[in-house]
Amino acid sequence: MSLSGDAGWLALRALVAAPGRSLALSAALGIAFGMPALTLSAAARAQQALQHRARETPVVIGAPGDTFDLAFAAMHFRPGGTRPLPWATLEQLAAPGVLLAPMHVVHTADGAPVVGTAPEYFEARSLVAERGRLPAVVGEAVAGASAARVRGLQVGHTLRSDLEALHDLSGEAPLTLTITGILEHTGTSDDNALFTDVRTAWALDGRLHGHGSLRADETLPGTTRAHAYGSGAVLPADTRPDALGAFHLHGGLAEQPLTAIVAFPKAPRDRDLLLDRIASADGIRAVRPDRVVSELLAIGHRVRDGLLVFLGLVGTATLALVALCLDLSRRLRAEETALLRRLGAHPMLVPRMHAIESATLIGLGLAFAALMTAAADTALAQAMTP
Amino acid sequence: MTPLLAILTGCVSSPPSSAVPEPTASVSVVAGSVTVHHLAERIGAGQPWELSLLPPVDADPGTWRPDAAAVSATQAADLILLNGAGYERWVTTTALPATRVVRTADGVPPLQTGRRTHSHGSDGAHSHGDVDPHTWMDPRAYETQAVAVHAALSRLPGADSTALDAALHALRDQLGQLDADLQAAAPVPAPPMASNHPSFGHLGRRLGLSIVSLDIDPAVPPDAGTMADIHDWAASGEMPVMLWEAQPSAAVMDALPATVVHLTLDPLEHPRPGRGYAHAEQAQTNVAALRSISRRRAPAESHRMGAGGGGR
Repeated sequence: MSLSGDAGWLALRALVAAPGRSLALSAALGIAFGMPALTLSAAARAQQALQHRARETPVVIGAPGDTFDLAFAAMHFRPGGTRPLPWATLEQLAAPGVLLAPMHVVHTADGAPVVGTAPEYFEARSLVAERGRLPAVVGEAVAGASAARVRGLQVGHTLRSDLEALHDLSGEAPLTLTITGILEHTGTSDDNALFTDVRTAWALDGRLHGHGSLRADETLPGTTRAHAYGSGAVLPADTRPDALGAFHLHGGLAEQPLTAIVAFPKAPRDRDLLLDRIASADGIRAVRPDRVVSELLAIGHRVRDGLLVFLGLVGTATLALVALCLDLSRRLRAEETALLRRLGAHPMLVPRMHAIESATLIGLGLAFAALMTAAADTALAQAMTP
Repeated sequence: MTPLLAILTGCVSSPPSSAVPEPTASVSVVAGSVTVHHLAERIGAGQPWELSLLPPVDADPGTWRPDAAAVSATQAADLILLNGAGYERWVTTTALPATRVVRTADGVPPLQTGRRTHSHGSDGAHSHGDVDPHTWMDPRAYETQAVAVHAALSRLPGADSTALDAALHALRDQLGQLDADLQAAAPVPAPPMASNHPSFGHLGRRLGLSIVSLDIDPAVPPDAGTMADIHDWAASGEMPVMLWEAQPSAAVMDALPATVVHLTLDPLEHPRPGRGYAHAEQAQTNVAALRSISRRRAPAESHRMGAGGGGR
């Protein structure tokens, strides 16, 4: 057998003879190598997802307040954190070169955000119903692909809106939403939401409602419809077609609330004109989500860079520890290696054996790092895709 | 119909189709009521878009609702013209585009007809104001709506602005003439006037007439409570005039005080049976009806000088 063959065989036997040590050292090396790669991969994925959604959401208009809250509420349907602005704002900003979509994101149904909007939203985002159709009247909803899958929703199913304040018997009544369609999968936050017309969202607010349409089986024995409504008790709102005719808005349409308006300009010039108009208006502001996300990513990049430095230090320390372990191992086997030399082994056999042993551990560590990064990346991709 | 032809033919529009608008690649305009459809047809005559009327031509705007297919087709329209002022009640609960809907009566000062107060939920008692949606009864208000329709149509792709302007000009002239005719026909001094349905509020406001709404079914004699209101109203002046949306039955006329003059006005909501909708032509019958009050009053005045009394 050649010198390298002898050295390799001896190195392998040494590694196999101490499997715990070999595995621990290769795992330590794998983590030291893999963590920076995993950090870079996760950061790149998050950046890609955020930037894609931001690019697809050119301008968000809202009431003065936190920029991040407004942008992320409109992009990813996070309820709360934004002040309402009136419907009149949307009508005032309407212009031929811009598609404006109202957003009312306040309520949830079975934990999914209920996004009150208008047909313009579906047009601008090219959202189409894979099954069924888009909402036509108050009480109807179309479910995002993931929202439907997770809840087992099908066309024709109904879903009760979530009560915000269970202890408040005089609070707004829940609304039964009828699923009229399931949207195609998009890989965006749209997959996780339930979409209704903005009027349904106002019905959830209690701003749009009818009166006296309870069925006989919905009242307690000995009570009447008048009793039921007069009690102020929470009752399911009735959105059957024959009841919708009596629905009315509290206040004028112009003053009904929106949480945001998403603007989809047809050209950069239309966007700039819109932004100019908003800049000179009182009580509203416009944010460009791509810039908001860039700001966020700049912070994220600094965190990422700091983390990489930290991981570099940890990795260096790990390498040093592995080197110490290998040196200790070499010292522990000093008598055996001296015996080999006395028996006439080639002078390079022992150094080469140690080199191959170290190289094998590093190779195993790299393989471990590759496997870990691939598995984590796949898990991240699944976690970040709605 | 070209604008010139429209003028020459007396501006009688063809019967509006009531088919559900089909989404097409071409520009489509959907009207939510006969009156607005008429404006769009007049002003947009000869333009390259498809105009359709959403509700059936004889539908009751208070109770009619579009089905889901009609709503889906309407959502795809480039422009949705509504009368507004609460006329198309189905709009309150229908998912329509936020920025392609034009409520043409938004520029018309609202005319409150009453308030309802109730309470529910945590907000306590509150009131809802009712607004008279019959804006087209006032030629000047209808003209304001025509201007809104013109502005909306002018923004559509392929619009011929010269033709649109000419058509609007012709329509405004016609409405101006109608307004003058109505002003000339309005009785002066005004007698006590009431209507069986709050359809003539805008007309009354334009003509300076105070018209009380008494909510009477033309086919069913009023109940005792309503009769008391009618007697109070009829006693408030000489030759009280009751305006009807439809010809009242003989039983109803007999039930009312003999001094009441009954006058049937066209609410201009629908075309006459078997004919196309023609706002100006139909409104001229109202002009003639209002003139008849003055004609009735003249003999009554001379008769009173001799013997006194009134009649129907």
